[in-house]
Amino acid sequence: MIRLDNVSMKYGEQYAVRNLSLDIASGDFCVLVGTSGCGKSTTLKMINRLVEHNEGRILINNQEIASFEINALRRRIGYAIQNIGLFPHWSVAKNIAVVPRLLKWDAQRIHNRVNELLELFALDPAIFADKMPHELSGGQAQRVGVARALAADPDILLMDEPFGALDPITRESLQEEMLRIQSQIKKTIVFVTHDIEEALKLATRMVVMDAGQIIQYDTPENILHRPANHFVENIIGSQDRGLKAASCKQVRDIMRPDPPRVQGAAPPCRGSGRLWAVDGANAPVRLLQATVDGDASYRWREIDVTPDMGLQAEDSVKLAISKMLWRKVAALPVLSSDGTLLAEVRMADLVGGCA
Amino acid sequence: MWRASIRRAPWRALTSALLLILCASLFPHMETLFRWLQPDASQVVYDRDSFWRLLLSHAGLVLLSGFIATVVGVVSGILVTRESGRDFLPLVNNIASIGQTFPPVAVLALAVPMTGFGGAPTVVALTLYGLLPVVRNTIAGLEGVSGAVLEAARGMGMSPSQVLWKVELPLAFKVIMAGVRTSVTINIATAAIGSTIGAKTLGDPIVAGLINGNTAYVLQGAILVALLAVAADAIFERIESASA
Ligand SMILES: Nc1ncnc2c1ncn2[C@@H]1O[C@H](COP(=O)(O)OP(=O)(O)OP(=O)(O)O)[C@@H](O)[C@H]1O
Ligand SMILES: [Mg+2]
Repeated sequence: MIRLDNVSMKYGEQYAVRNLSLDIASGDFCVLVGTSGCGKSTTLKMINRLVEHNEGRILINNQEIASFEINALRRRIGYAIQNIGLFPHWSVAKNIAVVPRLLKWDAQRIHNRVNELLELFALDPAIFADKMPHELSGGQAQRVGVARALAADPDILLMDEPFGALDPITRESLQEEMLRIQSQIKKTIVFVTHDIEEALKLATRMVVMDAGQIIQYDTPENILHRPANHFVENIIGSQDRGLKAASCKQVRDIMRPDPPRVQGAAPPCRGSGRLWAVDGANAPVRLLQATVDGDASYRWREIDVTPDMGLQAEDSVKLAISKMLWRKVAALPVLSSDGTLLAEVRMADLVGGCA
Repeated sequence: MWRASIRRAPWRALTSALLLILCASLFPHMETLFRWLQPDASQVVYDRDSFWRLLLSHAGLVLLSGFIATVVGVVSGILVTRESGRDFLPLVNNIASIGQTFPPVAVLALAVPMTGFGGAPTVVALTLYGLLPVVRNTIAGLEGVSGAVLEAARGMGMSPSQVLWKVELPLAFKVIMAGVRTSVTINIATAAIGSTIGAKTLGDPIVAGLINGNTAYVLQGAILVALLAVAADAIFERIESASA
């Protein structure tokens, strides 16, 4: 879909990007990471010709971008810029409607699209549509910036640190939103971020850049587990990459369905391992853990299941680890949406059987 | 304070305009008052021209030169902030700031050898003098539009003229208008000096009064010039607060 073929770009005599080759397939979520000033924004801007490359070729659908009419090209590519750049003299609704208006959509269609996007980004149209940009918080402005990029439903999205100014909670919910949008309507996304966890979570392909060049172009798993060199290791933070790997994995990948369970309060008099005591509605009440005491007699250690112990299948493995450490248990229940026991997550499975 | 000034503006514009009309119409009937000011002169109310004719001619000169200055100033401000005209930006910027330091009388004096006496050199001089604040503010206003906003506008696929008309000019409007306001209010005062080179303006009674030692004449001209300046300024304030 997007192909950069030996592309170089210089500001004056200084190369910002050098001999870059990159093949981004249709439907890919390609995330660029790298130190500040390594040429990530420049790479994005070359794709919509905000900066023109000096050498090499850039193709979209096998056609060189230089051959497109420049404004038609840009209207086809959604662009969320690093500094948000909302038009300060236009309301939120008018900001979002920029590209549809340039494409001369009719008023009703624009109105519907704006409301749809505002709702998608958890901004109540009744409150936000007529607000001016200076009345928004940084995070709200950033969401409007992303909504504006999505407005005309472009096949290609270029996003330059779109979630930089958000608190972790909003950031996470927008990341989920991006993944959801991406799974429904496959776009080709080129995304820049400084946040490695964000990159690992969102990317289908990751590009690690340094000094205008690509160091490694690979899947997030390979970047994590097989970093090409020391630089990549540093970027992904080799000390806590275990936790990073856990944060981009979902509980559903490691959970064990239908764990052993007993109905009612009384534990069986003998047994081994672990049991979940469930109530009549099949909701876990207690975790029973067989232990061997000093005098070699069996005992059940009982741990009450509190609401905060429950996991959802979509939760990250990192969250599971955190809950285990906090509650000091080696297993957690995975609940379905109605609170019944669906599966369990075991510490042993996290560490490959050594617990 | 900001709110108060907006609320005060409409009646400031109205009262100053009313006062101006009142004075221009009533001065000829206020002989007793001016006689008391200037008991020894043979004439105490300027009558070589009606105040109305002077006022209209004065305002006409200012409007005409203000219009030309605004068009030329804004256009050249736009041109030097385009990609292709950037090379001239420092030059124009410098000319604009140096020009501002020239006293208006000097500009008028310089215009006479070029165009002779009368209304024409006054318009030329007022245009040249009024050009500078407009150019300077147009440049400042356009340069003040944030780079991020321009990048977004281009990145969304606006053509250069769409960027100019839909983004840059609306955002720079206030600053440009402030330049026009400065230009016009300064020129209302400067136009009075046009009388010294033969233009028909409210400066006529002032000049005549100074030559003949007639304070009443001077006062009549000065009051009308001041009221005209205040009224014009208040009208600009209205325009600015309406566009906010
Ligand atoms: N307009 C410009 N003129 C000159 N040099 C520039 C310009 N824009 C960027 N550069 C240089 O090009 C290089 C790459 O810049 P770029 O903006 O692509 O970095 P980045 O990876 O996006 O950094 P960051 O993470 O800080 O946003 C930098 O060294 C920068 O100094
Ligand atoms: Mg950048």
